[in-house]
Amino acid sequence: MLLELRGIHKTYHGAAGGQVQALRDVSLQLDAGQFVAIRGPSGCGKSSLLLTAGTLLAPDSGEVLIQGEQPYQMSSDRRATFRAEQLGFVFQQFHLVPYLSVLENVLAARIALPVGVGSTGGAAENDDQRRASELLEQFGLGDRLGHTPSQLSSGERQRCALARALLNRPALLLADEPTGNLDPENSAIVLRALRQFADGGGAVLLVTHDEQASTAADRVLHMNSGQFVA
Amino acid sequence: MKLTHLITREIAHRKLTFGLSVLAIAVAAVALVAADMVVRADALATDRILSAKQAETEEVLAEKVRVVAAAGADLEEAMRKHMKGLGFNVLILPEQQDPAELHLSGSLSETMPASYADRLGDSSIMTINHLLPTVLKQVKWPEQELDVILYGTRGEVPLMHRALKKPVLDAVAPGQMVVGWSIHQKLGLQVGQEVEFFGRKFTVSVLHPERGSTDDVTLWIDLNQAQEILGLQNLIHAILALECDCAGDRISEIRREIAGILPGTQVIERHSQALARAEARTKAKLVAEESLAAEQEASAATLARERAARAELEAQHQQVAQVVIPLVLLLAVAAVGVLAFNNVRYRREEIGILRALGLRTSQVLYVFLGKAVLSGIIGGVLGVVIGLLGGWAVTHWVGDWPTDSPLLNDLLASPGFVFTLLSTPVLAVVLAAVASWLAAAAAAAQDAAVVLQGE
Repeated sequence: MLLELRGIHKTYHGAAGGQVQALRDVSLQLDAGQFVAIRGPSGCGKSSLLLTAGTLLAPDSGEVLIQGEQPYQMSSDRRATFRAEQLGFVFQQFHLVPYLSVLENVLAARIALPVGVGSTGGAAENDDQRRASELLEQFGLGDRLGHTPSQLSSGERQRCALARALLNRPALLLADEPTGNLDPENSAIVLRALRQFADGGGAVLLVTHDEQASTAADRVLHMNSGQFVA
Repeated sequence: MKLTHLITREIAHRKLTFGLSVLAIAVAAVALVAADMVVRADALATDRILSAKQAETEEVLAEKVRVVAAAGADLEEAMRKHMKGLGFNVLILPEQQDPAELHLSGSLSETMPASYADRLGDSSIMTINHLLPTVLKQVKWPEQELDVILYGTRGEVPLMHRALKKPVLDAVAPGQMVVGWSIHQKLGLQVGQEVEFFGRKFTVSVLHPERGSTDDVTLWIDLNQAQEILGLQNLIHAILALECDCAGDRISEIRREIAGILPGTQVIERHSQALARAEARTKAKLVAEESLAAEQEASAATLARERAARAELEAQHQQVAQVVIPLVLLLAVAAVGVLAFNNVRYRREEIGILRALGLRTSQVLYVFLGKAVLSGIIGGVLGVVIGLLGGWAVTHWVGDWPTDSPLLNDLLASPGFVFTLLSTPVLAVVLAAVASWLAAAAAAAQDAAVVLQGE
């Protein structure tokens, strides 16, 4: 099992004393090669679930296992490295670093990893550059390597973010509304890339409003008020 | 890709923010260097000014000492000559000799043993300095048919218990003759001329100028020869003595002392002008010494005033530095801190995604502190350079520092100042890191989930 969530609970405590139960006893299993889409209304807990699975939001209770390891039992630094090695993220807002070029934004995914991890020996940096270029070429950005994010269209930015998420060859790709700001053509490119990743042995957990987007998934789960619903 | 690349690219992207941080650090560094330079330049200028004043004063005083010494030496020489010209101020005569004979005729008739002079010389007498046994008799120069006073002298009898002193009257060598003014005028004598006196040959060795006293009719020859001519072997008429240390009237003391050594003698005072001149010499010396002391005192007071003025100036500059430096450092820390917090605020999204990409807390700290360290290095070095250039300008064109020899060279030779120059960039780095620490810590503590959810 690549990803397993067992009885996850997460409650947000507001400043005024109010509480919001974001996740209520959520359990999920995801194997390698699977593409799972989670749909639901805004505020239903989809993003919380994604961040919890992404080792960025510790649950109040329950267990998260990725590749059989419990990241929330790790130290903060170890968990960060684990995240860099095992997970890839794609967000609706792209979150590209504005002062880095397209190529550098993709390569930024390597910063967190120790030299040699996920690459080959002393030529690691060249390998990274080659792989980043190949990914960008694959996503139609081969001629935009030196451009900054502000010089790209929304679709191009998301494709750049997707290339960044894939650079470290993660086991699990977590996508939060990746087509939310894209036109149908770019949405299709992104969804096709996610599908290909899953087909290549990776696992994809997609959170989306978009019904069209969920059609690319093997399995679609519906969420409401912090719970999966039938 | 490395974190340093991220730092440099971010700096290139937000040049103004980085430039302002560098400026704040540079200002602090300039303040440090400039303040240290001013304080050290003060001390150096003080040393230089006081040394120059001291040297000038010492030169003036040395000249004064030289003038006083020269004047004293001149006066002493003049006194010696005066005394020699005037004769002696103490005359020891046989008790039965009537002094009136000397005053009336310039000659003496009573005698005493020549050994008296040696006895006096061997004694521990303290009141007189120079002893000259003499015979003194009015005679007719048979070869010239001329009345003269014959003065036989053998030179000074040494006072055995004293160190030797320069003789006030030179002895006349045997066969030599010293001739008074009237005599050589009448006879037309020349130095080196041979004359016959009582059947003996003498060579004129000295011709005295006119003195207006019995010296003008006196012939001086060797004592032994004079004794033979007068038939007074081993006898003398008088012992002439000069009392040199005679400030005040001490004739009674001299008389008492000599009476104890040479009973049957009397002491009369001769040519008391010598005493007056000795007193004048003493007084002149005193006045010169007092003048010198007053000059030294005035110079010391001037130096002390200058030193106090410089100390006050240094204290004022130090006080200003003590206020300005902490203020500037505080403002620099505040400015860098505010800029760093703003930077963190602008980069929330970036921090969030970098954390999502797996950046550790220490790496996030590195990104922000690395930038601060870089601004510290650049600002520190820039501040040192600007401070040095400013200091160079100030020491050349402004203030009361001496301009003949640039102080900057002296300052750069000072290990303390070199230490300041070298340590300022280090301090600037520490300053920038401290100022950015809270912002960097806030960035590192930022929850990626909150940022990404917020988006």
